Amino acid sequence: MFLLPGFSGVMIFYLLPFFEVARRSFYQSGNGVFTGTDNYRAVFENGAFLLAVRNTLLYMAAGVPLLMGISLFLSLLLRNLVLRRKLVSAMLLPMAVPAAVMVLTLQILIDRQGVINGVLTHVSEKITALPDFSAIDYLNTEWALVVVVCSFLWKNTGYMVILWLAGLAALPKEVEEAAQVDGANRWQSWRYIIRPGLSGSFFTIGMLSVLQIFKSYREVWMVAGSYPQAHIYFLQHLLQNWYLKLEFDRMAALTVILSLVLLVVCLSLQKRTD
Amino acid sequence: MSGRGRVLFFILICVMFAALSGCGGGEEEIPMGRYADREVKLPPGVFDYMHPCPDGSYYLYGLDANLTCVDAQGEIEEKDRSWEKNANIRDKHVVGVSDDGACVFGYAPNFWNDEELEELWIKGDTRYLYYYVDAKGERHALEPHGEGYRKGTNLHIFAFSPEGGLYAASENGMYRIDAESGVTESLFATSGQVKSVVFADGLLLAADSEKVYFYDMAREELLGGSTVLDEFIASHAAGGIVMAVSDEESNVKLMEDAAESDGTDDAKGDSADAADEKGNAQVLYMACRTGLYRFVLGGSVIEQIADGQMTALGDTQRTPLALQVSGSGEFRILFSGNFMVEMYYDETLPARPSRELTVYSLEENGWIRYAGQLFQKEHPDVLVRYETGMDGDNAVSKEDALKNLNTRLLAGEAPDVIVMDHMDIERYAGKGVLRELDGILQPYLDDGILYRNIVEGMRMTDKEKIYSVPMMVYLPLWLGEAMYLEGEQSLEDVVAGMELARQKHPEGAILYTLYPKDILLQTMPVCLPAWTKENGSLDVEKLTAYYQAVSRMWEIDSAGFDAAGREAWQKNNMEWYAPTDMDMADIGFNYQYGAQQNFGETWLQLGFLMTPQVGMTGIHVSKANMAADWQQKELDDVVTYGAYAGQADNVYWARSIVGLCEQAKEPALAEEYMHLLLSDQMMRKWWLDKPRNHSGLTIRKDSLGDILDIDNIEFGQTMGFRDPTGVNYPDFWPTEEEKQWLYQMMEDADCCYRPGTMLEECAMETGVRVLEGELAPEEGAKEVERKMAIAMEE
Repeated sequence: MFLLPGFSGVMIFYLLPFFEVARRSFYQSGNGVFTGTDNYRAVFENGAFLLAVRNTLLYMAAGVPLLMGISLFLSLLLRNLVLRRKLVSAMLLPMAVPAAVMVLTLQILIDRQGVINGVLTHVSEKITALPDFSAIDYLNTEWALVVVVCSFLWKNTGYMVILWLAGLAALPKEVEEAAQVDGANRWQSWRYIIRPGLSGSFFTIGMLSVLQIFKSYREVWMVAGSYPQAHIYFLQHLLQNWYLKLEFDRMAALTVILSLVLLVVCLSLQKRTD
Repeated sequence: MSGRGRVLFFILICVMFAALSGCGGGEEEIPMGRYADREVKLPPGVFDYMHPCPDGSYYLYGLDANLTCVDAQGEIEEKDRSWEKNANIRDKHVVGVSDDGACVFGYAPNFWNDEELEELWIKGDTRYLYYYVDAKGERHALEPHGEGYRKGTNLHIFAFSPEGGLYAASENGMYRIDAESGVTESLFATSGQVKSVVFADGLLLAADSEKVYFYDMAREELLGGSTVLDEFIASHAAGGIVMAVSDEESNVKLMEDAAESDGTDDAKGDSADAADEKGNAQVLYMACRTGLYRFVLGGSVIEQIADGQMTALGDTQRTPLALQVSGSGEFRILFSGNFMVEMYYDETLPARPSRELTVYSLEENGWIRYAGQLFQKEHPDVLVRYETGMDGDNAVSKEDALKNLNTRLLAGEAPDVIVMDHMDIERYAGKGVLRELDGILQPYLDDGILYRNIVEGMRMTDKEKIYSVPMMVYLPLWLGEAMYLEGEQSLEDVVAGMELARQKHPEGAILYTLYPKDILLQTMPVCLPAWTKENGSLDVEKLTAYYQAVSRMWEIDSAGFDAAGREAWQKNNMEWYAPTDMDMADIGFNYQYGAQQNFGETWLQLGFLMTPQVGMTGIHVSKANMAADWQQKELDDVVTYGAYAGQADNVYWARSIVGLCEQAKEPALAEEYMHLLLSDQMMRKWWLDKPRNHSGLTIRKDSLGDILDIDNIEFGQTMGFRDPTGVNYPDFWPTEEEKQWLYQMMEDADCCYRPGTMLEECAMETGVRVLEGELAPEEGAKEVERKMAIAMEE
């Protein structure tokens, strides 16, 4: 009875809609004909899906470790600084920036006539030893994924630093101090005290980073549209475009697949951290 | 859970189910009686002002018309205003008439007679001058002046109080003017432009787009307003609002459940009370797009009298200009577009329609809305609900609008009729959203009523059936000096013609293209159908050739002036030319009246034939309106026109493409609606009612013929053509040869261009970058190919 109010909310707003989506994934949209696993087969045979999966995995493989690593490194650096709070507040600014402003900033930086190209052109003109530099259209070349990863790191690092700092603050200082008294160096402290102590945070931050990857679609869409350069065509693009193309049945199948994958990732991460 | 708890829980569930299933309610009986409207035939002339008189008569006045009094019996008396012709009056702008026929109006002078005024106008200070004419016809120039009135402030509303006092409104204030001396006194400031002024027993009521101001004329003070009224105005005044005041004895009927706010009818609010000499409370009536309403002054309830959707008030193409209420409870409303209706209470009509036909379109479509009104008139028991995905007020993007529509379709809430303009017809047909139309269209095709080639152009490739049909089409047309394009057949020929024109005219524009996107809009419709191969893939070679050709065209056009010149030109056009929001239809119109004024010369126009009538759009059969400017330059003898092809031949641009939904709740009504759309009555009546529209050429052969037969057309409001018999441009009515040429073009058009496809959007976006030099034509084509490859894979 104690759980009932909360659980009924989860049931009504999450589980029941999900079950409905799962049910629809076995039917053809429009006429409601039962199609078995045809929708799933269609998804796995779809070229755009395979491209989107590849790109999303690449993005995740590059973005998540980098985000976790950089933010952990920064949090370790900031841990004992007096100005820690002010610095962390400054690092949170990108999170507070509206998506539209962020996209504008990004465009100013990476446009063909943008700041980065301008600086590089200027440098190549000044230093004659360097080869001539021709402006790069970053979002329409292979550089696009690099741009997206950089913007992802820029936006999320501050938040992750806070999470790591919270994890570090929870570690008992006495143990670390005792280890130092016993002659443990920084690496040993990290390896045998801090790292094991952060395993709980590792799971939370890891999961949040993965979820942030999926949530960063908005900025990518705003800066590059529904059909961006092939390297930054993600699963959300596919879902969005299918929605516009009335491919509800495939969308339902893809949603179920994604949910299952995320569940597996979540469970395996949890198991690993446990 | 205890046993008692379980029982309570069970009862609760049962009550919920009963409530949700509507248990307890029987078949609801719809009461009879509601307001309907009928059109009032106006006297000859174009009227944009009406002054209602207390005895039921009214005055009409307008830009080009004499002051006309129509008495309660419908007798017409025209006041002599011939003197206006010799009074240096170019355009009348604002008018006010009193109950006894005295009037005041503002006008723009023929400023070339007045250097000072001309200078002001050139600077953009469009200052009006004013005339006052008393009831006997004695007139004098009215020069507003005095404390609180800044010289040169334009007055845009005049109103006479029942006592004969003259009041006027500027952009941000109300004034009282002595009509004899012109002494002007500022009464109060308003936050926006006043839309309507009425008088109620010693009170002046002025409504802007946010609130209604109550001014006590005797005590000369602004009274507290009504929050209920202000909230109503703020949410209803967007499409225009007009007011009228009457006493409560008027025999006005209310709609069921009509109150707009809580409270009771006799509850006193915070607004000023008003009562007539007999002590009757005064009632304020308001007409706006959502309907007709009443508000007892001093009360706190606004009640609806008529629903806008079921009357002419809901027409988004027209703005209500004046309202009159009679003692018998009837209303008379003058709309923009020289249109007047009477609203009367019809006891034979059900209070609210028992059935509903939902028509959906992505963007506002005047023709479809008009058809809905016509359909509703023929079916009083049906409410035609016309919904637009992007209605202009809510800034919804096309993508969001499509998502909303798709969500509705997913939820089984499909509209009955969908206007498929700018939508992917193949996709919606393929997903079973659209109903097959072959059965409906076949009799029309068998009898030769519709252009078969145009209807067949809509046949879907995969299912080999027709799921939607365009009601109108545009045909590609070039217009210019004969030497450049005579015999032109391809995009390359256009480029060659432009090169020739550039040689002859080294400076200035050739095509009037302000932005790279314009040149793409002009040429893409006649090329895009050729870019798809039979297997559905993109023909990259053709797209590359297209980008090369348009790049060359842009270069030629830009060679006539430097970048600063183009920038200045763009800046001049910014106010009335927003390139990102326009399609070719708008551009065709604006080229004629915007760019030409700003740039002075034109040598070639590529566009679309949007109307077969004289003097209505940028390009048309008889070259009259083009010649309107060119004639002055003595160029009319070298101007000619012709059909042009791009990379595809015989292209037609499908407009007002209508499909029926497979899941329609009222399939029979939807089918009937489709028959109405295809009827000669609908296609012809639209043109008669709205001769300035850009809807396109009708796909019904007989209707097109009738419209071309200009003897049938009342040219009441064509641009600048004062005399419908053609005194000004006698030589430019279409000749028999021209008509035959148009019929032949219609017969030949078999290649359908439908805007808004993924390929077009992609090619447009990339094309701009190609023209701006960011990408080479080959690179641009490759980029489109790459994007289309993903889209195809999806």
